[in-house]
Amino acid sequence: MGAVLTSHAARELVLRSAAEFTAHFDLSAQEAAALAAMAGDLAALTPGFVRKRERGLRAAMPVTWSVLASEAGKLAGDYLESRAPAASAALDALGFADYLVAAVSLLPDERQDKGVIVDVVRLERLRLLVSGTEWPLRPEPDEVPLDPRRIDPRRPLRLCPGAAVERFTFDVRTVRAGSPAEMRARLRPDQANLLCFQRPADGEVVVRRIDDESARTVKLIGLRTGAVTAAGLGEPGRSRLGKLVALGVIKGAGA
Amino acid sequence: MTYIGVAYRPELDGLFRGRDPAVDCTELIADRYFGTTGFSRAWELRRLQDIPVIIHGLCGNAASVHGPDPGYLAQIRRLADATGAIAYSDHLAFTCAQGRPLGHLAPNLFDDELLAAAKANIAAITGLTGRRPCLENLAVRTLISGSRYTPEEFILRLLEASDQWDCLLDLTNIWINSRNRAVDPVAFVDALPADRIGYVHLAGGILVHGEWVDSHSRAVHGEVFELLDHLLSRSSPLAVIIERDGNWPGAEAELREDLSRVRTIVAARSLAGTPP
Repeated sequence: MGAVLTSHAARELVLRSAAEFTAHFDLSAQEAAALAAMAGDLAALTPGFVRKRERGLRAAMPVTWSVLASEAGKLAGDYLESRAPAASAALDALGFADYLVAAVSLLPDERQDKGVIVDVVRLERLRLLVSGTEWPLRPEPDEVPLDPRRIDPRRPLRLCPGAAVERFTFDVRTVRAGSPAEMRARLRPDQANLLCFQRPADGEVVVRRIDDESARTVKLIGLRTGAVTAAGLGEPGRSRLGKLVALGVIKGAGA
Repeated sequence: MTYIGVAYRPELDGLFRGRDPAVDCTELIADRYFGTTGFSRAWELRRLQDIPVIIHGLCGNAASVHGPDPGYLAQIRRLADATGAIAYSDHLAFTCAQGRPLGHLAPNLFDDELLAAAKANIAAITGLTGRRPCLENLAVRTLISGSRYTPEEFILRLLEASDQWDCLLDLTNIWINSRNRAVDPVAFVDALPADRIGYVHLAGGILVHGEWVDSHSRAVHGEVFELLDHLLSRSSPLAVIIERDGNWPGAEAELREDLSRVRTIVAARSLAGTPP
């Protein structure tokens, strides 16, 4: 019954061939008879359930949905049929984002805006991942505020939870839902490190372009959080630290 | 006393903030805040820390032969403990089959097997959350063939079968059901034991292709306010919560009007008081 409620394909199967459905789900004769009796009711319920789930996916990835245009509905349909709902809407959206990252890489290479679309999907997935960051209800006792202008070189550093940096072929921060295709086509390749993190005070997901040295610094502190000091970063990384601290993405850890 | 509030949505933040919040309490959709080391959307929990909260689960799976997931209930307990929740609720719904979430609040085959399962599920929910749950009645248009009971009869039977739960009585769902099916809303409200009404939901629905849908996107219907007035003539729920999930332009003003109307009804029934 659960499968029928969440899948158009399962609904069609139970209506068209209850015997096939029974064999596929290894149902007992009693279960099959009960399902056959309620098939019409389940057929009435299913479309609403699937539509509601699709609305959730569309809302979670509005920019991707917009740039994919008519293909978005088809890809979403494929995802909805192939994947059972997740434990929460947020997890379902993340599953859809992973699915799209793989699916859009298979778009025809001759498609002019393929590279932009791939990066749009990756950035929206990154935003979703970061938006699920867990925070303590109260500041953690070992979190030390830092003055970006005077960073103690011996203070261990930590990366803000959930912060992540990825390298993109295009700087797709400017692509919005509803951006015309011609505008996207005008985007030129522009290798960009995009840093994504969530402000713990208000939940706002922030995306900033950072240079290669800052990206290396963020990754190093993230990998060895609490074990790296400003002194241990070396000069190039240290020079970028103030800006990252001012952004709130690097904090001090207890000694 | 009866708390009067609105279910928390970030789009309605203005109702919950400032020196003079429009609400006495709020209701949080629990699943949005779950976490392992911390809490998702912790800033909202911090922002609401001075307002009494009710924890509202979506996946308790109370009306299912598969029953609730202990891990899910552990998350509920953790969140309710952390927020000092004044109540905990979920739905009298089928939400999960053999570990696979449906992502929806589905009706089920209302029969004696489900009645026995729901009774056991409520005992498990009570034990694992450490709280007496309030369970919400659904808006149900499609009845599953083979059901022995209507959804309303099932609720009444389950109240008799188990004394470990109370109703989260969604008056809009009752009214919507009465529009879509042969249900007498007043008779159903009267049939519920007055001391088993935990708290109340109100919302506004829409008419789609001739059927009412509980969309939570409009002002509360006048008939639902009348039903609230009737309910309060015989029961003293902990809270009256208005739900809104869409149609945001103008929603805050509409909700302030609805809150004012609820306050008038509650005051007239001499239930109002100052929150402790």
